[in-house]
Amino acid sequence: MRSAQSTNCPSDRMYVAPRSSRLWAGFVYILFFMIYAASFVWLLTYLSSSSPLSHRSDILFTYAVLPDVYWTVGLDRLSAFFALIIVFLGLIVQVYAWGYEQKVGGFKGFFEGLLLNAFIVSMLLVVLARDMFFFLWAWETMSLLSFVLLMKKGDEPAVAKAGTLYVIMTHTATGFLFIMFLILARLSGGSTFPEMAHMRFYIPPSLAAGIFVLAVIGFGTKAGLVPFHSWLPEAHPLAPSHVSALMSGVMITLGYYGLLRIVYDLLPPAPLWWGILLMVIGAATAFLGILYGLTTSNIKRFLAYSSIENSGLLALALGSAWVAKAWGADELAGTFIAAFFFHLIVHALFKSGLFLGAGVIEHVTGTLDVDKLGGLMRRMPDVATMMSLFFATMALIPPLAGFTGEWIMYRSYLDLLRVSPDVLGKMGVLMPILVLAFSGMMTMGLALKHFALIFLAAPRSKEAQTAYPASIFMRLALYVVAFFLLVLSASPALTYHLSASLALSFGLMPREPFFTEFFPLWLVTSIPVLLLVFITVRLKFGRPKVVHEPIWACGISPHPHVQVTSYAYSQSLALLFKRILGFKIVYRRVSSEQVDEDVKKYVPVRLFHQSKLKDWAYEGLYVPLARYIVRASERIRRIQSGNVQMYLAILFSVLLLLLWWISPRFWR
Amino acid sequence: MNCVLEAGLLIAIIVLPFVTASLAAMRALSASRDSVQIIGASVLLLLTLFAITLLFKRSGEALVLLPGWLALDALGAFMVLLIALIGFLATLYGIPYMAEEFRAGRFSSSAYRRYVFLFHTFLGAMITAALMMNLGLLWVGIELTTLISALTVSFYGRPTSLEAAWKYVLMGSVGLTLALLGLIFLFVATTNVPELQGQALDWQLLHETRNLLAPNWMMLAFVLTLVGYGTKAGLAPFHFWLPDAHSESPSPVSGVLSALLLNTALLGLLRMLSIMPDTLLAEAHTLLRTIGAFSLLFAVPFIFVQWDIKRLLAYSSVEHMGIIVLALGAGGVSGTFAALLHMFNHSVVKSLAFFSAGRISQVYGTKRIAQIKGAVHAMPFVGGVWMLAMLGAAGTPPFNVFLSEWLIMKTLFTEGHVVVGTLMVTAVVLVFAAFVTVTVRMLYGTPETKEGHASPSEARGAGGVPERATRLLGGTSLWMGISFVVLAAYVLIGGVVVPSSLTTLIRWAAELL
Amino acid sequence: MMNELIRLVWITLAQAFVVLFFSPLFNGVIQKTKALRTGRWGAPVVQPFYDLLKWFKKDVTLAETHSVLTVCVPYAVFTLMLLLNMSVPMISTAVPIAWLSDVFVFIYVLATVVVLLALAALDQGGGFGALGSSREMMLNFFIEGALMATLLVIVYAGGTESLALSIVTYGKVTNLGISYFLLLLAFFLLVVAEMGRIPVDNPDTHLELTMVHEGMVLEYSGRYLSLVMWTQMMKSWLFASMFVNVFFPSWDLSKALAAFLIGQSNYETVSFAGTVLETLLGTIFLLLKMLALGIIIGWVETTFAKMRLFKVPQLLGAALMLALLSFLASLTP
Repeated sequence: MRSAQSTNCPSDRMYVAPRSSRLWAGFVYILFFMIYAASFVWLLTYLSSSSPLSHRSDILFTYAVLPDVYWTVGLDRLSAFFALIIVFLGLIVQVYAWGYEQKVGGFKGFFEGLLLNAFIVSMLLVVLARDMFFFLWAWETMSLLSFVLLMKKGDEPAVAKAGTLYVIMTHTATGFLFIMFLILARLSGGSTFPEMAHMRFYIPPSLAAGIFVLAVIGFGTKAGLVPFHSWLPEAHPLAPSHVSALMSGVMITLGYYGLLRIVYDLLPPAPLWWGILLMVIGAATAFLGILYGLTTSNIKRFLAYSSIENSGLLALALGSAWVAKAWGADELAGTFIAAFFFHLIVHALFKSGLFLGAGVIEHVTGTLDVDKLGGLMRRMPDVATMMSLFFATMALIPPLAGFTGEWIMYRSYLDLLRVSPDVLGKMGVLMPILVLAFSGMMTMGLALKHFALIFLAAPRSKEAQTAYPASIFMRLALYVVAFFLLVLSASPALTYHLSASLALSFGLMPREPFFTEFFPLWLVTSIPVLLLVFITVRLKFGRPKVVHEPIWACGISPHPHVQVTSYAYSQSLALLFKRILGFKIVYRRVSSEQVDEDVKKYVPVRLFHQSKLKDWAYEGLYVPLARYIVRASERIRRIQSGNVQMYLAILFSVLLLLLWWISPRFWR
Repeated sequence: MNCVLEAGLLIAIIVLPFVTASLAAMRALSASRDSVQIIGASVLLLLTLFAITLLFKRSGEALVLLPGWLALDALGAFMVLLIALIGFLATLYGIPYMAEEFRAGRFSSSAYRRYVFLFHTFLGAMITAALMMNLGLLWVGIELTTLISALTVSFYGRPTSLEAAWKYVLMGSVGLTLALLGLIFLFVATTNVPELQGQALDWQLLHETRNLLAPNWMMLAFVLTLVGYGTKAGLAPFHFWLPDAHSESPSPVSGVLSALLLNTALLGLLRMLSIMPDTLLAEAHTLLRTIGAFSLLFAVPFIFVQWDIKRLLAYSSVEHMGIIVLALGAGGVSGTFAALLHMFNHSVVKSLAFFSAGRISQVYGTKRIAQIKGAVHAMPFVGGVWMLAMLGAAGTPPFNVFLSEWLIMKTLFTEGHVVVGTLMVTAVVLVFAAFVTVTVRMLYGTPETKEGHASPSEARGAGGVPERATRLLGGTSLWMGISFVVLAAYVLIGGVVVPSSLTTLIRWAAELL
Repeated sequence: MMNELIRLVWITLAQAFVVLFFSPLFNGVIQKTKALRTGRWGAPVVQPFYDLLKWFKKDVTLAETHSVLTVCVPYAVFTLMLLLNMSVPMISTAVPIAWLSDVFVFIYVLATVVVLLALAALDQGGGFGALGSSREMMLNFFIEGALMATLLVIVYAGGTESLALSIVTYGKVTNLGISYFLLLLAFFLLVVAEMGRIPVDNPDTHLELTMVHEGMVLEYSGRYLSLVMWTQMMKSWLFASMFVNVFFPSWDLSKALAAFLIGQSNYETVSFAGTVLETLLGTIFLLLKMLALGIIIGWVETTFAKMRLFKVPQLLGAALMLALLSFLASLTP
C-alpha cells in the first residue's frame, strides 16, 4: 500500500477523464439513479400505507428456473425496510460514484458502473427472495459481486490477500446456510418460505437449536460477529469508498435480515438461551471490535472495526429482545427490536457518510493514513463540518441520533434489570450495560482521534498540504447523508415509529417513545445559556486581544512531525489491553535516505516502529485450520506417487473391498 | 421415407467425424485444413440438432438405425449433443491454439496432421459409443475411445507425455477388462430369462426384463462395471491416470477428455445402472453414493495443494464426476435428472476452464501456477473468462454449475442422505477456497516474464487473425474468441435460464432410465 | 402554576449562584488544607476565584495552527457543565433542568465535555496537548464505565431512570448496610478521579511526565483558560456535591427545619418563603458537608503519592468492582 501511494503527485490525482468518454458510465448512473429514486418513493409509500399487522407470505411472482427450482419474489414490511435502506444508499452512491470514478472512462467506466449496480440489485434480491434457492443464489451473488468490486485494486498484494480471505470466509459461511436451509427443506418438504413457515411449530427443539446455530454462524459471518469477523477489517478498507459504504452500511446488516427471517418465520419461538447466546456474542463483538480498532492509523480500517462494534450492538439488541420475550416482558422485547431497527438506520447513515467522506479524503490527498493528514479543516471546511457530524453521531454525542438509539437500549436494559427474575439474571443484564458503556467510551475516544488527526492542527505531509477541492458530486452525496442524519436527530420519533411498526409486525408492541422532547428541549436550554455566557463575558471583558504564536515545544521551533500520531494517541490503552490484543511493538531503523528532507537536519537516523495486533480468531482459529488442511492434503497427496503398480494395487484392493461388501448375498 | 431419412441421418452423424478426420489429415488439403475442420464440426452439430428435432417430433421415442444395435434414444441424443457441441467448440479453439504451438516448433507438420486426424476420430468414437444400444458394443466403443485418446495424450512425445499415455492405457485397459468381466457376469445373469436368449446384451430388452435377472450375478456385474467404467470415468481411487493424461495432452484434447470422455464412460455406468433389478437398486445406490462421496472428498487435498493449473482442473473433474455419481446414487428420476444436468453444466464449464487455462499457459509458457501473474492485465479477456470458469467450476451462484449442484444437494437432503449431503457441501466449499486462491494469484499482480518464455504482450495477436479481432477480444484470435464467448455465455446465463428443450431432453433421458 | 414557576426560577438562580461561586472556593478549601498540612499558610481560600477573574482580564495568546474549535470549546464546555450542575438536586430536592437528569444522558453529556476538551487539546498540534488528551481519553474510558456502574446502583435503588429523583431517594431506601458502604467507597474513588486529584492526577503539576488535565489546557490563555478552569472546578463541585448528597442526605432536615421556622407543620405545601428558607438552609448544610469533604480530600492528597498512570485503571477497576459488589449486596437482603 505504501508503494502505491508514493507516486501520488497532485496533478496525477486531479486527472479527470474527458466527459465524452464517460458518457456510457453516466448513462448507467443516471438510469439506476432514476430507478432507485422511483423505488425509494414507492417503498416509502408502501411502508407508510401498509398495516404493520399485514405480514408475511405475500408472494409477488414466481419464475421457474427448472421445473422444480424457483425464483420466488415477495415483499413484506421487513423486506421493504431493508430495501428502503439499500435503495437510499444506492441513490447516494450513484451521485458519489460519478465524482469518485472520474479517472475511469470508456467501456471500463461503463462496466464498473454496471458491476456496482449489479451489486446493489443483488442486495435487493436478497431481501425480496422468498424461497431458499433464490435466497442463496442472491446471497452468494451479492458476496461474489462485492468480491469482484473489491478486487478492482487486486494488484496490490494486500488487497488480493484480503479479497481472498473475504470471499473464502463468506463462502464457507454460505456453506453453513446451505446445510441449514436444506435441513429446513427436509423437515418441511417445501422450498419457499411460506411453505416452510407452515411447519415451524413442529420442528423438534434440538433440531431447531442446530438450525439456529448454523444460522448464527452463516449469517454472523456476514454480520462480522466475533469470532467470524476476521475478513471484515481486511476487506472493507480496501474496497472503493462507495463500495465500502454499501458493504458497511447495509451489506453486513443483511446478515441480521437473514437471522430475523429464519428465527421469526421459519423456526419455533426462540427459547431463552438463543437470546443469551446472541447477547454474549454481540457483547464480545461490540467490545473486541472497537478494541481492535485502537491502534490502526488507516481511517477506513478503523471504520471497519467500528462496523464490527456496531454489528455487535445490533446482535446485543436482538438477543436482548429474545431474552425479554422469554422473561415475559413483551413490551420490552418490542422496544429492543425497535432499538435494533433504529440503530440499524442510524448506523447505515453515519457509517456510509464516514466511508464516503474517507473516500473524499483519499481522493484529494491520495492517502488514508491519518498520520499523513492533518489541517484539512482549513482546506475543506464543508467536508470537515459534515464529517464532524458523522463522527459525533458515531461517538454517541447527545442529542444526535446515534446517542438516541443507544439511549433506548440503555433504558430498556434498566427495565430489563427490574424484570429479570433472579439475582443471576440481574447480574447478567449488567454485562451488556457495561459493554455499551465501555465500547461507547472507546468509540468516543477513537472517533475524536481520527477527526482531530485528519482535520485539525498542521498538515503532516505534502499530500495533506496540497489537497485540492473535491468534486462537487462527492460532496453532494455527503450533504445528502448529513441532511438526513440531522433530520433523524431532530425528530427521532419518526424513525422510532418506523422501527416500532416493524417490531409490531413481529407481534411485539414496543413502548411509546420517551425521547421526543429531548432535542427541542436541548436546543432551547443549551443555546440561550451558551449565548448568555458568551454575551456576559463579552460585555464584562470586551473583545479579546488575540496574539498568534507558535505552539510551545520546549523552546525548539515546532515541526509538523512532532505532532501526535494515531498509534501514540491510543498507546496507553493498547498497552493496558496488551493481553487481549496480543499487542506487540516492532522497532526498525530506517536508513537516512528514507528520512524526509526537511527532518534530516534534526535526526540522523529515523526509528520506525510498527505496532502489531494479533487477531485471536484469525491467528488462533483460521490460520491453524488452513495450515492443518494444507498439511493433511500434503500427506494424502503422497498416494499419487507416480507408481503404476501402486495404483493398480489400490484399484484391486478397492475392488476386493467392494466384492467383500456384496459377498454376504452369495453366502446366504 | 422417414425411415430412410433417420437411418441416413444417424449414419451421417457416425461417419461424418471420420470423414472430417480423413479429409483434414490429407496432405493435399493441408492449406484448407482449418476450413475442413470447421465445416465438418459445424455440420456435425447441425445434423445433431436436426436429429434432436426429429426426436422431439416423436416426443422422445428413439430414432432407430439397427434395432437392438444402433439407435438414438433420449440419453444417446443428450450425449451426442454434448459431444457435437463441445467438439465443435474444441475444434474452433484448437485451430488457433495448435497453429501457434506449431509455429513455436513444438511438433512437425506430419504430427500436426496426425493430431487433426486423431482429434476428429476421437469425437467419432465417442459418438459411436453413445449410439450403441448393445452393452457389448458400447464397451467396444469406450475401449476405442481409450485407444485413440491415448495417442492424443502422447502427442507431444515428451517423456512425461509418453509416461502419462502409458499409465492411461494400462489403467484404462485394466479397468475395461474388469468391465468386460462384469459384462460376462451380466451374461450369466441373463441365462434363465427366455426373452433374452440370443439378445443377451440388448439394452432395451434388458431394461424391460430387468426384474427377471439373477440378482446375485447382477450385483457382481454391477460392482465390476462400476470399478471398470469408474476407472475410465476417473472416479477415486481409480483416477490415478487422469491428472497425468489431462495435463500432458494438448489443451483442446484436455478439454474434450474432461468434458466428454469421462461422460462417455459414465454412459456405460448409466446404462448398467438402468438394468439393475429394482430390488438391488437401494444397494447399488449406496455403492454409488459411497464411491461418489469418496471421489468428491478425495479430490479436495489434490486441489488444495497444487502447482499445475491443468492438473488442478483434472482433479476438479474427479470431484465433479464424484458429484454426478453421488447424484445417481441419490436415486429416482430427480437424481438422474440432476446428474445429467450436472454432466452438461460441468462439460461446458470445464471445457471453458481447460481452454482458457491452455491459452494462458501457452502465452506464459508454463503451466505452473506460481509463475503466472497478472493475467488479467496481460490478457484481460481470457483472464476474465478464466475467472468465470474457475468460479463456475467451483459451483458458486449465479453460474450454471451452481444450479445443478443445488439440485443434487437438495435431492440428497430430501431423500434423507443428510451426512453425504453435508460432506458434499463441505467439499464444494473447500474446493472453492482453493480455486479462488489460485485464480487470484494468477490473475492479479504484475505480470512477470522469464527468459525463454513468450512475453504476454508479444503473444497478443497470435494465431494469424485480423488485427481488429485481436484487439476486440484482447489477446485471442477470432475462432478462439467465439468458443470462449459461447461457453462463457452459457456459464453466465445457465444458472438463470435453462433452455426448455434441454430440460425436456434430460427429463426424457432420466425417465428412460 | 405561577407559584411553581417562581419557585423554579428561584431554585435555578440559587443553584446557579451556588455552583458558579462556590466551586472555586471548594478548590480553595482543598488548597488551603494542603498548605496547612504541609506546614504553610498558603493562599487564601478565595484565591482560585481571583485567578479566574485575573485570567478573564488578560489578553489571549493562541497557537498559530488553531482552528475555530479552540475558541468555541471553552464556551461550550462551560455551558454544558453548568447545565449538568443544574440537572441534579443540590440545595433542595427540586431540580432546575429535570429532563437532563436521566442517568444515561447525564453520563453521555459528561463524556461530551471530556471529548470536547480533548478535541480542543489536539487542535493546536502541540505535543503536550496531545499527551494530555490521550491520557484523558484513557482515564475517561475507565472512569465513565465505573461511573455507569455506580450510578446504576443508585438509580436501580431509586426505582426510576432519573438521577435527580434517585439522588434524593437513595438515602431513604437504603439502610446502612454493606451495599451502602461499598458504594460509598466506589463513589469516593470516582470523585477523586473525576476531580483530577491525587492519586489519579495532580492538578498542581507542570511536569509533562505526570500531567493530564494540565497538559490539555497548556495552550490556553486568557479568558479561554479561565472558562476551561472554571469548568473543571464546576465538575469537581458537581461530583463532590453528588457524593455528599447521596450518602449524607440532609433534604428532610432542611425541609423540616424550614417548616418549623416558618411555623408550618405540613411541609408538603410550603409557601414561597418556605422554599427560600429551605434552599438557604440546604445551601448551608451543603456548604458544611462540602467543607468537610474538601478537608478530607486535601488530607488524602497530602497523604498519598500520585499513582503511576498505568496503575490508575486498577484503582478505577476497583471502583467498578465495588459498585458491582454493592449491587449484588443490595439484591441479597
